[in-house]
Amino acid sequence: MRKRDVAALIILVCLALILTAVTVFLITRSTAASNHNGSGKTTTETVTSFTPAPASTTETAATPSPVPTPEPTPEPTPTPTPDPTVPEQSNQAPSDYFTDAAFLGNSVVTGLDIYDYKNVLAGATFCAANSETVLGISDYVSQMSSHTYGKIYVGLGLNEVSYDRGVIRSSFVSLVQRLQKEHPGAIIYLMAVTPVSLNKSSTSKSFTKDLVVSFNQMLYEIAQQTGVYYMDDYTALSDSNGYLPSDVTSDGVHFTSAHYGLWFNYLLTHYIPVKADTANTATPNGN
Amino acid sequence: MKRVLFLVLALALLLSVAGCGAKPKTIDMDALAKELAGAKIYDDILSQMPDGMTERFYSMDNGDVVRSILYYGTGATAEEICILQCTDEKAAAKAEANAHTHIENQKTSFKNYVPAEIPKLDNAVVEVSGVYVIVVVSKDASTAQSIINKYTK
Repeated sequence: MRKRDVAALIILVCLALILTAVTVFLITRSTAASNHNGSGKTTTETVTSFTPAPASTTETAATPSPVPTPEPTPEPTPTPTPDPTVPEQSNQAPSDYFTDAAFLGNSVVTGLDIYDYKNVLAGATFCAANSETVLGISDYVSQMSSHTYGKIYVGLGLNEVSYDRGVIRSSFVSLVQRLQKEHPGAIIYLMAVTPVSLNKSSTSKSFTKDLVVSFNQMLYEIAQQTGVYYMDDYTALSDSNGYLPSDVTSDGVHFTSAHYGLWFNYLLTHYIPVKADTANTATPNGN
Repeated sequence: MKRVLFLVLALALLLSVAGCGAKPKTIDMDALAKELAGAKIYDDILSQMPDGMTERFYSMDNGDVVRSILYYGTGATAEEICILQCTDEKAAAKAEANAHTHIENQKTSFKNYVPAEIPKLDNAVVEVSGVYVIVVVSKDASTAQSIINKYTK
C-alpha cells in the first residue's frame, strides 16, 4: 500500500471518529436538558409532559410517576324543597271545615276542645289527653283507623321536647307515615309546639325556649321530608320575643281560654282548602 | 164558737209555719261564684266557662239543670268552681254523685301528669243545699267551705 493511500485511510478513520464523538456528545447533551425541565416541580399541568429519565443516565435519580388528580365533578344544583308551612288564606275556613277533622295531642290540645266556646272546631274529633307524647299515641291512632278523616292535626311534642331527638324524630316520621297509610285522603298538619313563658324557660331544664324552637325546626323538617304541612301556631301564640306571655299562664306552659282565641283564629285562617271534586290529598309538593 | 175560731186560727198558723220551713233556700249563685273566684286559694288562673260545659263535665242532662256556673283552670291544675241549680232534689242527688265521679276522673288524669294536684282533689268541697250542688277544688278547702257556708246556712 502506498504512503499516500495509508495517509488517506488514516485521515478517513480520524474523521469517522470525530463525527462519532460529536454525535454522541450531542445526544448526551439533549438528554440531560430534558431531565432538568425548569425547577424540577411536577404540577397537574406538566404531568402529561413528564419524561422519565433514561436508564443509562446517572446524573438524576428516577422519580415516581405522580397520580393524576381528577377534575372535580361539579355538584348538581339542588332541587328547592317546598316550604311546608300552611299559608294564610284570605277567607276564613268554612264552618264545616273541621267536621271531618281529628286532633291528636296532649293537654294543650285538649284546650282546643274545652275552650271552643264559639264552636269554631264544630264536629272535630279529639284524641288528646294529659301527658300524651308521640311515643304513646298509638292507641289513639288505632282508634282513628275505623273512621275516615279529611284532616288530621298532630299536636304533640311539648311533653317530649327534652327527649332524645333521634328517637323522637324517628317516632314522628313513623307516626306520619302510618297516618298517611291509614288515611290516604287526609290533609295532615304537624302543629308546632306552643311557646313557654320567659320564667319557665329561665327556671326549667326541660321547657326552654331554645328546646321548643329547635324542636319546631325538627317538625318543620319532618313535614318537608314526609310531604305534610307544618302549622306555625308557635308564632301566633308568642309575644315579640318568642315567649308565652306571663299574664296568660300560671305554670308557664298552659294558658288561659282567652289566649286560645289566638289559636282558634290561626286555625281559621291557615288551612288548605278542600277541592270539592277531587280527593283531599293536597300536599306541599302539589301531589 | 170562740173555741172553734181559736182552733182554726191556730191550725192556719201551724200550716203557714210548716210551709215556711219546707221552702227551699235560694242561693245567690253569682255572688257566691264571685266570692269563691276572688278568694286567694288557687294556683291557677280560673276562667268562667260558658253554659253547657258544666253539663258536659258533670254528665248532666240539660233537663236536670236550671242554671250552672263553672270556673275552670288552664289545664295546669285541677282547680275549679262549679255551682249547679238543679230542677229538684232528685236531680241534685244525681249531680252530687256525678261530681264525685268527675273528681275521681280528674284524679286519674292528674295522677301521673301533675301529682301535686291529687291532695286538692282529695280535699275537694262538695256541698249539697236543697237543689244546689257546689263543688270547689282549691288549695284551701277550709276557706272554700267557709265561703259556701255563708250562702247555704
